[in-house]
Amino acid sequence: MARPVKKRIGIKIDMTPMVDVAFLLLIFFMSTTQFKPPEQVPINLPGSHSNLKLPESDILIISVAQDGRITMSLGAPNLDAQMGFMKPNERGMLRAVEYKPQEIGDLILKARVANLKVRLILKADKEAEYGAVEDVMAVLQKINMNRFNMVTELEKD
Amino acid sequence: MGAVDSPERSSRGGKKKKARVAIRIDMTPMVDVAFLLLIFFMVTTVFRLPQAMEINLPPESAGEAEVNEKNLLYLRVDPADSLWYNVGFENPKRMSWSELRGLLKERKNTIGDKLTIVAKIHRKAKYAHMVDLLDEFNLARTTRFSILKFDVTDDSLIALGGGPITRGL
Repeated sequence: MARPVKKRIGIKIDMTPMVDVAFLLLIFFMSTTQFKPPEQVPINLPGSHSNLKLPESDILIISVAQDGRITMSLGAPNLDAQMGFMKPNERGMLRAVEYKPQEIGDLILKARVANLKVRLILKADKEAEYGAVEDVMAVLQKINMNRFNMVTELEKD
Repeated sequence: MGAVDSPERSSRGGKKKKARVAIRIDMTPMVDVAFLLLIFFMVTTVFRLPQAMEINLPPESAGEAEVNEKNLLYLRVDPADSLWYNVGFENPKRMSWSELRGLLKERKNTIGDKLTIVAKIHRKAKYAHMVDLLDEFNLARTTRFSILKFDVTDDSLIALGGGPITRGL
């Protein structure tokens, strides 16, 4: 018995709706993506020729803003809230807590107890006074956390 | 593909009406290219990551090391962000930041690995200068350096060379 030969059917799908949706999504994500959460304290990094990659996990960032304000972060808002580095303000928004140089020593030790692998990162504004950074380094030296990374921007010349 | 439908002729004499042409363009290649580009850029984009510079502070109870004064290079940064240098017990001389690399190279060539640098940065100077100095030390492959407090002595030494006198550090 001869099998009935299946007839080939040329399928033609209108792709316009798919493309519409794809572009819609593309444009939606393009316009809504925020690459970096806007920093609460803007920091302009100094340039250097160092090409060491900044570690991304197990970090404790000590930020020194241009006016010498010190804030700390573990690199993730939920961890910061847990550690008390960020506290909600009256409108419920998380804000970084400012610290005095003499306060950070205990906090660094606390963070180190919570995570022994924690690495220190000093992120200071290039226009900041060296004195503010000197104070932070004195504290680090005092608590014997002698190794840390300074964040810089790659500079080429 | 890329078919253009032929217009249906309504050629029934009379006035010559311009026939509507129903155009249908196959969009597949365009979409293919669009997605290809999208994926290409997604895959190849490298976000500019900040770099890090590692520094090891000596422990607070670090011992003292004796250094021959000829191997010692002092670099001082005053509050006006100028750079001063001297070897051993010479009086500090002002130099521009662009000359620093040449100076380090020259010192390194004449002294070698024994070169010891003492950097003193005034509290009012910019933090960027500390990074600049460390960066230059790294570039010159100098590992023996220390960063000390800029004190009143440094102040008067710089004043000898015509620098600013900054009381109240």
